[in-house]
Amino acid sequence: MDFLKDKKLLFRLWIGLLALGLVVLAITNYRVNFYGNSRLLPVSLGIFVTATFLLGIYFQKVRVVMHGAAFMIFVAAAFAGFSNWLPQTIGEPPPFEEKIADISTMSTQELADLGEKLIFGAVGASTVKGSIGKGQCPLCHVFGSSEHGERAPNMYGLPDRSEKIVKLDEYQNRDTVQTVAFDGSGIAESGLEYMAESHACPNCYVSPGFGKGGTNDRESPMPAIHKSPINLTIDEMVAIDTWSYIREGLEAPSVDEMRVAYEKFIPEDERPQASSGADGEGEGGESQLYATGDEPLPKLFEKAQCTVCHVIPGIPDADEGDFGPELYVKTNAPKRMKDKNYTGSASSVEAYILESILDPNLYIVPDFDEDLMPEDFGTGLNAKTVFRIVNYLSQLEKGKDPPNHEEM
Amino acid sequence: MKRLFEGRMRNKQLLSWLAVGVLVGALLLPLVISIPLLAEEFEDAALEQAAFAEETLGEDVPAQEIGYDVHYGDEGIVQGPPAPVTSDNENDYPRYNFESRVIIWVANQQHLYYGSFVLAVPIFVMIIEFIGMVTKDRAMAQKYDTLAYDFIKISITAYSITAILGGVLVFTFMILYPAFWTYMTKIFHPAMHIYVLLFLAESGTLYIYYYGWDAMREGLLKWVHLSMAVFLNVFGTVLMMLANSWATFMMSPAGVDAEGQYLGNIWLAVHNHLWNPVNIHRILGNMVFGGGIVAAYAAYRFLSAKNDEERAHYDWMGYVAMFIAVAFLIPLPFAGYYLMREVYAYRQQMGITLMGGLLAWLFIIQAVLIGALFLTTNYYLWQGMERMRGAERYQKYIKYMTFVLIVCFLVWLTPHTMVMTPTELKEMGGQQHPVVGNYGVMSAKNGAVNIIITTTVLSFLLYQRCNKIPTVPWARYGNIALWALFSVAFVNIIWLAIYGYYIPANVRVGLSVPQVVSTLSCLFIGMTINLFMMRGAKPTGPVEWGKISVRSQYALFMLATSFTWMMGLMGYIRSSVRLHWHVNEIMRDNSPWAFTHTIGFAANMISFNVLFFWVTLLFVFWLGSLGTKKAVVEKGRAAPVAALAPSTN
Amino acid sequence: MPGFIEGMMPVQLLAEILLIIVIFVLGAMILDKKMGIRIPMLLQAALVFIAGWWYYKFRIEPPLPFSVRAIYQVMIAIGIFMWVSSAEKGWTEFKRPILAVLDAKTPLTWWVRAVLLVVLPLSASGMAYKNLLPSLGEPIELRTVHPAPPAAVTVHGKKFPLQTSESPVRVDESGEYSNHIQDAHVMDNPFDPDSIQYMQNVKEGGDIFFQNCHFCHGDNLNGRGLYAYAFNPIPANFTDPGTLAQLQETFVFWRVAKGGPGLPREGFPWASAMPPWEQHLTTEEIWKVILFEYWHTKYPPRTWDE
Repeated sequence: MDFLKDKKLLFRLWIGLLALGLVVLAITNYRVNFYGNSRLLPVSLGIFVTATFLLGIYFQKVRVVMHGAAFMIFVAAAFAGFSNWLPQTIGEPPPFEEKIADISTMSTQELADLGEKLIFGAVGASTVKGSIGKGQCPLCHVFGSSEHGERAPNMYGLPDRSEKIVKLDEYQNRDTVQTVAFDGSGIAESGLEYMAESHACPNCYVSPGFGKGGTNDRESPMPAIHKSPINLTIDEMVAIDTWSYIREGLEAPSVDEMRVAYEKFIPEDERPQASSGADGEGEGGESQLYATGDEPLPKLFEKAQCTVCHVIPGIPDADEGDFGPELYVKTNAPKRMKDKNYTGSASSVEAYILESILDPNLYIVPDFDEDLMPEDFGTGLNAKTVFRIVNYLSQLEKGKDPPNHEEM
Repeated sequence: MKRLFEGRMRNKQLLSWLAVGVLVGALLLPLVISIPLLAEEFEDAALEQAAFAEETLGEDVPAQEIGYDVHYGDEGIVQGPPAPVTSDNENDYPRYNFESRVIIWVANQQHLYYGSFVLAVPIFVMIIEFIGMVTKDRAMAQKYDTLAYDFIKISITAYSITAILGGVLVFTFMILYPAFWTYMTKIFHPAMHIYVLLFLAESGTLYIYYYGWDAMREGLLKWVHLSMAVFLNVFGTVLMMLANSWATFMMSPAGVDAEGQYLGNIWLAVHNHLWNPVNIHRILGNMVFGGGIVAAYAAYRFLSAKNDEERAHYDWMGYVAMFIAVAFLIPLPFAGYYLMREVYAYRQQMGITLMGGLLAWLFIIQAVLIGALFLTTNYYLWQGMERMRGAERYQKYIKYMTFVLIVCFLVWLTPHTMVMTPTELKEMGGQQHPVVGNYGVMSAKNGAVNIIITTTVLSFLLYQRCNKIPTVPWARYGNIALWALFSVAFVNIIWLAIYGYYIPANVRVGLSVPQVVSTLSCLFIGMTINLFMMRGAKPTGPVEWGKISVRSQYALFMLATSFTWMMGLMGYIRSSVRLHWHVNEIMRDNSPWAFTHTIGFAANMISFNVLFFWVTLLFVFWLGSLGTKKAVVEKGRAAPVAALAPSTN
Repeated sequence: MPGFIEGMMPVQLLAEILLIIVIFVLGAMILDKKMGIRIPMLLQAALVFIAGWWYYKFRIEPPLPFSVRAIYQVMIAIGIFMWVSSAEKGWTEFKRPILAVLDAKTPLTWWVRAVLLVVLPLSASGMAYKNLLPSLGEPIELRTVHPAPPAAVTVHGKKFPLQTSESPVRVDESGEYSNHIQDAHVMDNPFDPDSIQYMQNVKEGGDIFFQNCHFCHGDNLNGRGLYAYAFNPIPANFTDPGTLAQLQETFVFWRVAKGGPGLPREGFPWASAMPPWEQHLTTEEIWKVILFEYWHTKYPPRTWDE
């Protein structure tokens, strides 16, 4: 290397040119290879390397520091550059699952919105016919001031009415199948408590005319909504009640008061917990289906809500519904399809059943009310469920034994 | 007179072995107290206490809420609030006009760098001081002692910087993540107080240790001095383990119920599932890191040395530091394997996120770094052969070792998931390449990395023999034994790697055991045979310290930078595997920065942290050199020491 | 040149590289010792580099992606550097021609220098031009083949924790779950009506596979079904040791049940066209079809601990 000593200047010039070329190359590469994303650091480091290296050449006194630094920056730049050269992905957090973990921090309006969502499925859906939410209330109840409840009382004016009901003699000295929510719970003493009691213990008091058929209003057809399958938490029921007050322009009681009311009627071990959401990742959301289609038939009819209104021969526990006709379809369907009021187009028993599920108002059996059967079964039941329902119902004949549901 | 001297020697030997015992015992103490058996005792005690409270207080007390430990499943009385549910607002996440996570990232990383450095340096200062004390050669002993003193001097400034950075970190947490910080302090406040007290104790010991170096250099006092180093390290290790428990609590929480409510047993929260694996990994990692930094310091002093004596001293210092770093680097992958295993045992989901999912590419980068480390180590050893006459005998093997290493690295670096354009994907006909794709799986990589380590051991063996010709009568057989040992190891490793393709994964995992045994037996048996063979060997010349290429010193820079970078990377991986959780599955991160950054961004951050650390470290080194000047002038140390002291250019 | 032998490919590749290097070293040695021709270090290094490039570019079939070749080539360059600079003597020899080109004053070096001064900037600008030229290629996507699964998956209203769930159809004669049942029956005839429950489950799984899955995943389960090439990427190849063989059965269950839409967000883009089969198959049918896939490919499902 002795020939370098007297030729240092030329040597330095060369190095300088080379370094400049590298910088140009680095910038060009950066422009192209990172798809326009800001990954400036490796390139800046590349420029730093060249700069510190050059400084080391031109300023001999700090040579070691500069060369050492240039080398370290080079190593760091190489690692960063390699990492940036690989394709890039951002890991997004999963969407935040709405938890109503702390309703006490919500404003009254937010709480009422939540209540509306639970009843009707969405905020503002209370005016849309046929909308239904997690609480499934509109399946039986009506909410409009001028509507007439067929299966269950109209919920309009409930806050006022409750105040009066608790003072009634019939209420205080009731004779239902279950007179208290649980041992020692006592009965409601205010309108607020009455609302809580009727959610937690529908059998405790039955509005006249709305009891299960044949029980003389001693038993209610309504399920306790804090239990399976509806499983509302206390906080969710509080939200529903808040909506009931707010929408009538009344002032809602505080969250704490309502919680206390519910806690009076729901024993501690029955209180459902809010789902934590910790294991909800990647599960594809909660199913909106009534049933999966894999249940045993009696369970399937129950979950599909048929048994609330219909008597289904051969199915245990499906012998009380009297809002709809008894389902001897194989006997009745041919007659009905020939009826002059029939507006559908089915030509077989199976098609008739399918049609009735999807569009119940095509034919109203005499003595039953119009518009009673919900029209959303088409979206709430999957093909498998419908297939099994149709398969079973189409074999029901009056005067003959129903088929064995366990084999179907 | 002579006999008396020998007697003293024997006493000294006895004393030194005793000291080794104490040393090792004291170092292992923190690990011993963390074994699971004790955890159970603690649990039992806690439960008994609860039962006792119940009995004595009877039914008058209000019913206490019972919670179930989210990890251990134990019953406990709820004693703390549930983990807060945060939302993206200024109360839960106060912020500047900047990403808070990046601020905490930098603060944390800098604290960790300095923390690891000041934890690691006392450990090998202790070892070097001890070696110096038991070395018979007076000049050599003096040399070791000076070296140890040099090291601790560097760490004194670094120590106060660590404390300052710790303060910065705590304030950053309190200011930017108040909800999270409050929750953590509610659980860990007793541990945090112990932490502060230990920190005080460590500071005290360190200052006495450092400033008492000269006063306590003779006789029994020297042993007292050394025992202070032991205490220093025990304090340091316990400190680190406490801090680790907070980090691992965030990954694998325990001691709280599913809502995050504290159940009153601090030991369970500290002793969470990943605590011990991380402890072991970090202790080893710190040693490697500390060695790397000192090596870089030595390289810098070597390059700027003014005369041959200085060059010789810093060449030697760099070699010792590099040796320490590599000695701890070799078990590090096994500690990493243990940690990974425990991660899988804790949550398979977490393991897959690391190894096959979102963070898998970071492990490709890690593979590159490991490659850089081992290649550089070998390179440095080969360069070191230049110091010795007679090395030509072995230098001709370098090209074959290079070949083996590079081929293994080609296998090691072959990604499991290849980056390719859709056009290339179609040409290849699938995600997996039929030929090269086979190198992307575990079996091939295990084989490759074991061969890499074995080859590194071989390099070291050759380095040791460079200037010696064995004279023991069985030298011939010794050589044959060594040949046989390494050949069998290579064949065994390669055979098992191939065999691994033909058996199911759960059996394959077991294959890594015989592979590792091969590697380790090369390390231990090979070293031992070599050591005995070199007894009374005929030297072909002394080790000419300082006669080494400039490239070797850059190799030391490379080692240091790679260690620093690797530490940043692995820390990032460990932290980001929580994904969108502050505390895994208990407290969700609802800040705007809950997403996981791209690897490019992460790499840029790591590079920034690395360079920032080295710039500040330069300042520390500079301070160190100032101190030396004064010390030399004021205390008027012995002439040879003054000559070895760093120059002050 | 003979191609790569099925089943021996990785070993063959290593052997071939070894052979090339041996030929290279022997050749250089013979030239040097026997004929007195010493190949300059620089030329040797260049030859090794080019040989590596040639091997990975042209020898390996199908062609390797550029990214992999780039990694390999950088590694080879580093290896060459380590080799030439390992001893001072070789390093000096290696550097001499380079330094001479930079600064020596013979006519030859002057010409080389002059040519380089023109060629280097030109090739740099050529590279820059080529890089900047807009291309129509699709951008690279980072695709993780096996995304991280959720801790548990809910199928048809039932929750399956992936860590602990077991296939209800992988059963031995006593009806208990068995890890080893597949090994014992991998050669059995699934159409044998008297076979054990396990084989009947396999057969039913096969029926389901050929009714639903084989259109894409192929009748050899190799991901080359009738419609395979309509998708990008093409469907998973179950015979590849990188797919089924690497995964726990529950992982496959999650992927089949939830399909492409069920993939986690964090690793987007996934680009999977597979439907969520839970909408078409029952839970048991999903387990059976997975059972069949493992049986047919002869890979046992991955298990973490025995």
